[in-house]
Amino acid sequence: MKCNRLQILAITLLVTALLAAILVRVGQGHITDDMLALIDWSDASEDATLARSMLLSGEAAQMFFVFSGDAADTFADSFVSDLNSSGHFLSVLRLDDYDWVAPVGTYYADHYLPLGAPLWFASACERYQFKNGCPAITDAAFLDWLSDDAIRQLDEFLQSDQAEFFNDWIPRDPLLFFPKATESFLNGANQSDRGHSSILVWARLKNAPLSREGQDPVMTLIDALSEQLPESVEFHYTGVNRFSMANRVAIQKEVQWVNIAMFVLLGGVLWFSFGNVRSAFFLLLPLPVPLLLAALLTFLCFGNVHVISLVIGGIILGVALDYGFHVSAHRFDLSGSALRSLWGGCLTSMLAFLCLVFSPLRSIAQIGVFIGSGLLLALISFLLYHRIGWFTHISDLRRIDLWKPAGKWFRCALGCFLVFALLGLMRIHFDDDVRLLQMPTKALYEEDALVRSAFSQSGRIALLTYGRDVDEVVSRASQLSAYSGAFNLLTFTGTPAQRDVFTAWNAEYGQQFSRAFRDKLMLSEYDADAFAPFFDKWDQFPEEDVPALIEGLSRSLQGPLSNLAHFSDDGNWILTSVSSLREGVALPEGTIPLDQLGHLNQSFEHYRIELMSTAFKGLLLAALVTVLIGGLRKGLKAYLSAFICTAAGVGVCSWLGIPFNLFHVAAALLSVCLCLDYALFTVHLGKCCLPVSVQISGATTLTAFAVLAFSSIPAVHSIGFSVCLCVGIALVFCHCFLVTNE
Amino acid sequence: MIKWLPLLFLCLSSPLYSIDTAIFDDSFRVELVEKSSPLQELLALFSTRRCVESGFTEERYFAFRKEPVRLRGTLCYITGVGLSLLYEEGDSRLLIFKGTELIRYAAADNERSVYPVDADHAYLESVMAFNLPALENDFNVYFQTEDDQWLLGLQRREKVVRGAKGKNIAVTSIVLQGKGSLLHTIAIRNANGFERVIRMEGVSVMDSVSNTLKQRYFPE
Repeated sequence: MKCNRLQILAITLLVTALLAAILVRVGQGHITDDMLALIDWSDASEDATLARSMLLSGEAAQMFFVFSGDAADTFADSFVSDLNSSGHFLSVLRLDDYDWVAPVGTYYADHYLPLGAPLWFASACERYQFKNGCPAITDAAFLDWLSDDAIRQLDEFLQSDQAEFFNDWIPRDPLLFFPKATESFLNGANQSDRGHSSILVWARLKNAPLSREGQDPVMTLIDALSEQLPESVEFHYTGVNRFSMANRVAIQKEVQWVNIAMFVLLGGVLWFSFGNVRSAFFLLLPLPVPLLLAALLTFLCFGNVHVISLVIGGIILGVALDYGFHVSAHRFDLSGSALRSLWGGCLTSMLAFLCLVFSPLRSIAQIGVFIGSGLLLALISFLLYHRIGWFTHISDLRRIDLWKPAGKWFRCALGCFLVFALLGLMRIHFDDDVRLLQMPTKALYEEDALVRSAFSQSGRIALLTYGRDVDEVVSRASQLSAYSGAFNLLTFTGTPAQRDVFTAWNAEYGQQFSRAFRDKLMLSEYDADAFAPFFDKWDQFPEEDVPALIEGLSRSLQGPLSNLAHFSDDGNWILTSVSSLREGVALPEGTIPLDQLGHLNQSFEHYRIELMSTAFKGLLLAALVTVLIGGLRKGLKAYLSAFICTAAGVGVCSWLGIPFNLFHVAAALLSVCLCLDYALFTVHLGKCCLPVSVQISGATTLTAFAVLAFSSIPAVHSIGFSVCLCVGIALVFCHCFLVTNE
Repeated sequence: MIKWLPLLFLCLSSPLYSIDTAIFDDSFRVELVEKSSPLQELLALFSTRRCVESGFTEERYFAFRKEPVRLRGTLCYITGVGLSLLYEEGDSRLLIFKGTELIRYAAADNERSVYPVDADHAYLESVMAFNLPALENDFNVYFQTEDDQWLLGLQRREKVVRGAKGKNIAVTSIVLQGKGSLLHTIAIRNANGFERVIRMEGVSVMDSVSNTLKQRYFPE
C-alpha cells in the first residue's frame, strides 16, 4: 500500500495533535515533581514507618533562621509574626521569647516532686558513692551527707547568675529540681550556653518539606520578607525544603540546556547522515505518535507520573531513532536477517525495560512502562511508515569510512583490554548516595552549616526508640543514658531504674531525710519556716501514675523540644540525641538511627538491589528472545557480545574508581539493550564493515549520551558516562570481532 | 540571663530588706530638664569620667535567708566600652555588659558564652554610666543631697505586673549612694523581692585606660 506524502504528513500531524491534546488533558494535574512521589510507601515495617514519619513531618519539616546585627530584634519580631500569619507554618517562634518553654515549665512546676526527685537522688548517690567508695545508701551517714550536700548545692546555686530568678520559687523547691530541669530544657533547645548573641527563630512547616506546597509559597514569602531587610541585619536560614527546591530549580535549568544541546547535536548528526534536512525530517516523523502513545499508556497505568520519569524516559526513548536508521538503511530489502535483527533488538530491549515495572521505586516502574511500550510502538510505527512507502523518499545514509578493517594486533590489543576491563568487576564497589540526585550547591551547604552551628545541631546523632506503650519506650530509651552526651525526655525525669531506687529509699528514709534537712537549713542561716511548702509536700509524697506523668510532660513540649517524644495511637517513641555511638555495641531493641541522609541512602541501596535483581531477570528473558529470534549461534554470539561489552564498560568504571549506584545499574541495562541491537545487526548484516545503520545509530547514541555525561547532576552524568563507555566499547568490539569477511 | 524569665511565674510578696525607701518621697522627686540643679552638676562631674575601677562586695538578699549571700570581686567601667564584673569568690566568672550583649567567661575553663542582654540588666550599665536620660524613660528620678553626700533614687514608672512573663525579675527600684564624684553603693530591687546591693571599695577614677586593664576586664 503506497500513500501520498502529503496525505501521510497531514494524517501524522493530525494524529500527533490529537494525541498531544489527549495527553495534555490526561496529564493535567497528574504530572508531579514532588519528591514524595519517588518514595516507596509499601514498606510498612514499624521502624520504617516511624522513621519516614519523622523525616517527612518531624525533623525535616523544621526550618531554622538566624538574625544578627543592630536592627535584628525588630526585624525578627515582624518576621515571626508574618510567617505565623501566612498559613504555611504550624508554628514559628523566637527561641529567646520563651513562651514556648512556659507550658513545659508549668507542667514541671506542677509535678516537680515526682518528676525531679528520682533524678536528684540518683545524682546525689553517684556523688556520694564516688566520694566515699560505694558505701550503702541506707546508713545514717548517708542521710547526714545527703542533707549537707543539699545545703551545699543550694549555697552554690544562690551564688550563681540564675539565682535571682528563683527567689520566690526556692521555698517550694530547695533541692532545686525545677532549676536543674530548666537548665536541661534550655540545653535541649540549645539556649543555655550559647557562643553568640544572634536571634534564633525556629519554625515547623505545615506541608511536607519535599512537596511543592512546602517549598514554593514558603520560599516566595521568605524572599519577599528578606528583601525588606535593612543592610545592618544579617539573615541566614536553612531547611530541607530549601535544599529540595534549590535542587529542583537547578535540575530544571540543567535539563533544559541538556535537552537543547542534545537536539542541536542530534540534528547535526542527522543532517550529516543524510546530507539534507528533508530526509532528517522524514526519519523523525514516525516518532512523535508512538512516543505520545507510550506517555498516554504510562499515565493510564499509574495515574500520576513523575516528571523525572518523563524526562529520563524521553531522553532514553531517543534510542528508538536507531530503528529509523535501520529501517531507512534497509528500506529496499527489509526482510530476513534485517527484520529479524530489528525485532530481536526491539523485543529484547522492550522486555528488559518492561521488567522494571516490578521495581519498588515507582519512578523506575514508570520509566519501564514508558520506554518498554515506547520502543515497541516506535518500531511498529517505523515499520508501518515503511510499509506505506514513506522511507522511499529518504536519501541514502552516508557511510562513515573511519572503520578500516581491524588488524590482528588491534584485535589482540582489544582482547587484552577487555580481559583487563573485566578484571575491574572484581573491584566493583557500591555507593548509594541520594545526593547523586542533587546539584552541588556550595553556598547553600555553607549557609546550612552556619545556621545549624548557631542552633548547635552539628555533629549530633539522633536515635529513635519506639515501642508498644509508654513503659516499653521509656524502658528501651533508658538504655541510651549510657551513651556519650545522651539527651532525651528521661533527662528531665530519670530512668525507671532510678525511679525504683528512689521510691524504695523514700518509703523507708524519706521522713528521716526531711527532718535532717530541716535541721540543717536552720543551722545554715536559712529561714526553715519559709520552706514549709516544700516539707508539707515532701512529707506526703505524691503517688502519681508515672507513664501518665511522662505522657503529660511530652504533651507540654513545644518548639524544638516537641521532637523529643510522642505518645499516641499513631505510635509511641522517644528521640534521643547523642554525641557518638558506642563502637561495636548494637543499639538497644526498638532503636534506630534517625539519620535523614542515611535513611534515604538505605532506600537507595534497597532500590538498587531490587533493580539489579529485576534487571537480571529481564536480561535472562532478553537472552531467550535473542536466541529464539536470532538463532542459537548468532543470537547467543550477539547476546554474549553485548553482555561482555557492558561488563567491560562497568569494569573500566571500577578501574577509574567510580562507585556503582542505582543509576549505573539503569545505565548498564540500557547499554546491554543498545549493544545487543548493534551486535544483532552486525552479526546478521556486518559484512566487511559495520552496517551503516549501526554506524549512524552508534554516532547518535554517543552524541546524545556524551551530552548527558557533561551534566552537573551526578545521576545524569553517571548514566551518560556509563552508556557512552559501553556503547563505545560495543561499537569497536562489533567492528573487530563480529564483522565477517564474507 | 533572660533565659530564666518565663519559667518563673510564682510570685509572693516579699519585704524590702536593704533599700532605704525614704528617698522615694515626692519631696525628693526631680526632673532632669531642670538646669543648674545639684543633680545636673553631679551629672556633669560623672560625664567627664573615662574609666572607673573598684573592688566590690555584692550582697544578695533572698526571701528565705536570714543573712544575705555575699560575693566579692572587682569591677571596671569604661565609657563607650561597657561594664565588667569580675567575681572572685564562689562561682568565679567575668560578666561583661557590652551594648546589647552580655558576655560570660567561666573561670574554670574560660568558656565564653554570649547572651542578648535584657532591659533589666542593661540598667546596670546605664547606672554605671550615670546615663540618667536613658533611665528616665522607665523610672522616676529622686535626688537628695547633704554636703557632698548624695542619694539618687530611681523608681519604675509603670506598675510591674508580677507573674506576667518576664516581669518577676523586672527591676522596680534602684538606689545609688555616693560622695562627690564617687559612687559608693548601688542597690537594685526586683519585682520578685530579690535585692542586690553592690558596695564599692577603693574606687579609682582614671582619665586613660591601660591595655593591661582592658585586657583584664574586656578580653577579646
